[in-house]
Amino acid sequence: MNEWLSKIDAGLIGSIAEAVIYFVVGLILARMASRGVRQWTKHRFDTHQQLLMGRIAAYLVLLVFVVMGLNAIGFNLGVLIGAAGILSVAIGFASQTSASNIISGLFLVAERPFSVGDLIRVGTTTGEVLSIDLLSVKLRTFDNLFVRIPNETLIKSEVTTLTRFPIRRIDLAIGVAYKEDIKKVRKVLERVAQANPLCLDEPKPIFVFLGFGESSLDMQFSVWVKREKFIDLKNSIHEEIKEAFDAEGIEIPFPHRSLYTGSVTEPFPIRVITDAEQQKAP
Amino acid sequence: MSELYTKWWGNFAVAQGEQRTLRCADLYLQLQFLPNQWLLGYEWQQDINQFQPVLETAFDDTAPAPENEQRFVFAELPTTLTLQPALADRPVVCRPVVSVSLLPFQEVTLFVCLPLWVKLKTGESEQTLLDIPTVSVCDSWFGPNTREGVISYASQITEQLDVKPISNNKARAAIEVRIQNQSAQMLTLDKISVPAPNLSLYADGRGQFWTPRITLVRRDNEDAILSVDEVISGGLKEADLTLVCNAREDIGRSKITKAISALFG
Repeated sequence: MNEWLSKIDAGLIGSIAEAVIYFVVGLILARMASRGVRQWTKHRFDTHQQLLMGRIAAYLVLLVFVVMGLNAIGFNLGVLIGAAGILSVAIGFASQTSASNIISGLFLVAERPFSVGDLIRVGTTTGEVLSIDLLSVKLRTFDNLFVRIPNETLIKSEVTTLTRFPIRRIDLAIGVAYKEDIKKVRKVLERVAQANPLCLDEPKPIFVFLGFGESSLDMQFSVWVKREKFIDLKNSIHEEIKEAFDAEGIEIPFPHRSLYTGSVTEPFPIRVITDAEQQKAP
Repeated sequence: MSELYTKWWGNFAVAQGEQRTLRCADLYLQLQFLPNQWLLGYEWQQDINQFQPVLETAFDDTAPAPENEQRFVFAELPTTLTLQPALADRPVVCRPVVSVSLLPFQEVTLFVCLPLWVKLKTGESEQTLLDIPTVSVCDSWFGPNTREGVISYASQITEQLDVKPISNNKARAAIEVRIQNQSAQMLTLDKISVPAPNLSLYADGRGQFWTPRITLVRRDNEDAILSVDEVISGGLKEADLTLVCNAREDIGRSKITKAISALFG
């Protein structure tokens, strides 16, 4: 032990201390660089680009200081770079998932299907993008949950960006009773859309008669809305349609089931129970 | 006893305990100057269209409170109230009752009526407390498709691309739109987008509001030029008018070139 300790001379301890200082200073400067770049890009680029530039600046500064630290300890960087090739193969095998996520992350950044602040839907999860990181994308859902989705999942699955375009369409599935006049229903729906200030005047609402349903005449009424007002309109228009249908006497049917016994079978037997019989029953 | 003012915009001295109402087009605005706070209530009453805006110094206390209410608290109660008419903060899409077709190399002048907005400020500061339309406006989309375009307002008035100047409506602003078709193709106007945020607002001696004239030129390629002219609509002289409100957005150079689909529907 003493022999081993004697090998650690004061010079080596000094070098290690120097490397640690380089690393700590690097960390501080990297953070400052990231903050500085984000401040500089604040009014020039969007949130996603600010985040990306800040990260690149931080990693570059840190890399320089790590290299300086390794140099101070006496590492030969040429050997290190040579070893990096072999090391990367070993790391590749050992951390396939992480590597796949990193590469997927690079593709996501390059392709930009969404940015920080966008609202996206992945599978059954819908939320606001908080950050796009090296390994994963972080979302905040509407019920205020933090969801981490690996980049690889995002590359492989269908991602819907809900805030890509300024306007959105709401498709309302509407069913009315068979006795109703479709033309009248259409006019009432158009009047409701026209009266709602959130409902865009252009593009015009779309009315589609879907067909003869099991219990109702099925139709689709699609209205356009500013994306920020999507939920507001979805709530208000359903309420207004119900009110307008009630006012016009248009019936919204519930599922009906007619039982037919056929022409050759006997009718259903019906037994009439009088009040007196009902009271006698235990 | 209440007092009526037909000049409803400008600076007005207010005192604690005073109450005022403004009726302009569909807007009903209620102002109460309470100790250390202003209580503002407003709603759009579509059954009452007040063509002649009126500012009253008192209101019926028993009347139900307006739908929307806002409170502004001050360390020291401001002594002046500023009511400023303005134009919309987004382009306004106007549509003729029947679409108009303009033959090649022809020019037409149309008069369009734009809804007014009301800005409310304290006389002591430039901070706007309220900036609301005087009519219940409907959102619209103006663009060649659902991806490219701008969110605009749809003007609810149908008789807009009428060649006659709009008269007797002091709750709206009149604008002259000159359209030149410099291409060899027919230009069909189903709707046009009026750049309201780029226009200043003027008032004449009768209380009618006017904006500068705009010219839309359709060229041979699919380009169109929009320019805000240095003359006031209706050929009025600027010296005879009062500048009520500057344009919300500076158009920069007086002319902007856009794709034809950005100006004409």
